[in-house]
Amino acid sequence: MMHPVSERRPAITDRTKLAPMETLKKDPAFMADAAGTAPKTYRITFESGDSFDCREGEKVLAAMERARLRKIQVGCRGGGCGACRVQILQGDCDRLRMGKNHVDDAEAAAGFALSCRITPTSDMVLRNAVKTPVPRQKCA
Amino acid sequence: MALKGILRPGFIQLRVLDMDEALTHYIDRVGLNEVSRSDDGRVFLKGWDEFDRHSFILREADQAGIDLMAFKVDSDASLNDFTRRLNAYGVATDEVPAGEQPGVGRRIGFTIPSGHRIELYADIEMSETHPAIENPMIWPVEPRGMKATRFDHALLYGPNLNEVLDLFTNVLDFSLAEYVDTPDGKLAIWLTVSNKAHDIAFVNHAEPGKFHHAAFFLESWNDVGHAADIMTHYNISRDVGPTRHGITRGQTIYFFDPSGNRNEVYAGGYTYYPDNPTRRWSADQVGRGIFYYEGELNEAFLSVVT
Repeated sequence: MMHPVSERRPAITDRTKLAPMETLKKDPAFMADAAGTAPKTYRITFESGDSFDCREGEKVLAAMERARLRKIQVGCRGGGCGACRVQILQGDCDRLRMGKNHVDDAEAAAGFALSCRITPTSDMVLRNAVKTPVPRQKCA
Repeated sequence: MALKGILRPGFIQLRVLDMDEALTHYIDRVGLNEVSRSDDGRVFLKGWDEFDRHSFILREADQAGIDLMAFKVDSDASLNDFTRRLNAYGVATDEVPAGEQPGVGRRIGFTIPSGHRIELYADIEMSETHPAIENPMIWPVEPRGMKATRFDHALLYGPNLNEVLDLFTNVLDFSLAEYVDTPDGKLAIWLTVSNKAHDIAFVNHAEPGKFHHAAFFLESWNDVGHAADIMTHYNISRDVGPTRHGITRGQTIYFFDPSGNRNEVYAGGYTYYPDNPTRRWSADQVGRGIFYYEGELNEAFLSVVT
């Protein structure tokens, strides 16, 4: 089958009715800044002991980049390439959709995630879990 | 040789994780125009300066990457001729019936040794919003966002580079414009079937069927700067640039769509003629070849693909 029908998802937003401000208002860090209040933050700690603060609503990888730490490789930042794959040892988060070729359902249930697609809902402890490169394969 | 047989890249189909986010990116930021949506969820897009109905297709899926890239050929007779040559070479082909994509005639599809699906087609409707023909103004509606004029080329990652090169040059009539040489053989090849420095490129990579980037052509270096302004304003994930490639000489930015598919906006690049010699880059100069000003590859160039 050449073009599998994609999973049914909610109707696509009419983008002409979305002002840029409406997008920003969904960002808790932006709203906290706008209100002059300190955004709520969670402490993200690597197994090695390095740690950084992640704002409510902020992607873990983005917070790591903001803290100028390089404990995980920064790739596409969109859930597509798998460079920033981690294992969550402690803590909870919300997840955006990420490539199933990098984190399948069983791995997600076991606490694996792409750090560019998770936002913390508690303090977290993480381990770098990038997959080893796929061995060279011959095509017919 | 006049342009005959395969004319140019026609369209590419990419997978995205979230169609809403993807459309904001490709329409509002990159500046493509939406053409239509099909019942199975595919969205068809085009650049403002393209005559054909569509050139860029998105499909929502559970992983990012490339479904296929298609080249337009000059006639149905050529389509038959390439099918015969592919089969004689030992490449199995299949036929996608006319109308499977709106406005597109029958397509011949096949898998190349790097694991990618390539298609050829001869017929596609002209866009309803095509560039003007009679006393043509520059554009019917002013370009938006990064002002992408067209889908220009793609860089794909996969194994069996020598076999891919042989297929493209000996069966599909492409020319090898440039390549990166290493003691272990070719690392990367830039292939052209037209006057452009490249229409498709490949980097040798263990995993088959991987996608490095799809490029959109911009009119000028100033437009590359304008694209960088848009990426900064909207916090678009950027990989590298603005910079220049030594290979092809294109002025460029690599950045990512919201699903992690790499995009390029590109201006300049030299004009290629079929009698030009193949340009060679040695392994110790590959950094200069890929990122001319930096003189070295970044960490992501060889490892971050979808």
